[in-house]
Amino acid sequence: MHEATLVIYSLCVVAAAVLAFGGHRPAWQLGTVTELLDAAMAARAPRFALVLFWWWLGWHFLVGQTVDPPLLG
Amino acid sequence: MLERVRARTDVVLRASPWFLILVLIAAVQVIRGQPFDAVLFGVGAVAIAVDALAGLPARATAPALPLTAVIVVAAALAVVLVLAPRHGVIEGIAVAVVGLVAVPLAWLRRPGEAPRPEDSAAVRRLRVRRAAVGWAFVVVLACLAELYSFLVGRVTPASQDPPPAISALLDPALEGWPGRILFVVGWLALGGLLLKLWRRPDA
Repeated sequence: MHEATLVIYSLCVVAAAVLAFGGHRPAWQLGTVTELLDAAMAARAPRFALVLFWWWLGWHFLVGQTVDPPLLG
Repeated sequence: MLERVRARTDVVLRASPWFLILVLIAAVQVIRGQPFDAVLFGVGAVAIAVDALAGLPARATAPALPLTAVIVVAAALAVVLVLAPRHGVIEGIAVAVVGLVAVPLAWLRRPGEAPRPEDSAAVRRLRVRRAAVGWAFVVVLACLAELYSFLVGRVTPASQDPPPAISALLDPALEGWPGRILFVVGWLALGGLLLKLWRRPDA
């Protein structure tokens, strides 16, 4: 499962790169990351939720407990 | 009257996914045994729910700052965040200050954006919707993998090589300078992209 999880994460990174790249290809008819964020951030609920999560990422990796130890041994 | 009810229902329905997302994240923080994180997302979820149900005023706009000022402040923050010891007091204060400024600002409309109920460009809407579906798929998949790894990792001894959570993968990288710089710059840049506090030419 260790390797399978890494494969899934890697696929997500590749997919994200493809989506980001595809937004700048007119033939793909895909919105850019900026357009998507502008649309999402126009309403309060997504704007607040996204900024809250973004801030928590900084707290989680720079200040708080980043890695949770296993409960068993 | 009917129009107002319909409009309010629409607001509640649009806010519901975000409310649920924050509730789920709060639940995971409870499982992690991290009360601060759980309260943070729990309060965020409540705030979204109250706003959707009560229809709090949405006219206020965040201040528009000169781009130069935004860059200077971000650069100063980056220096502090990179140089201060990770998980230390100074790091905590710096990140906390960012949060105390950024999170309330997120409650306000971004500067330079007039309130518009619907984007009139149908083609642009379709493109954005396609992108939203694609990104949602990627994010949901990554979150499910992360959740699975986290839950299995909590009940699997380290000697049995459990599936890694994203935090466990990134943590070693942040101990070194390149990873730390990359993370801090990326994090601040993403915050800038989300909040867009600088004056736009059309603002």
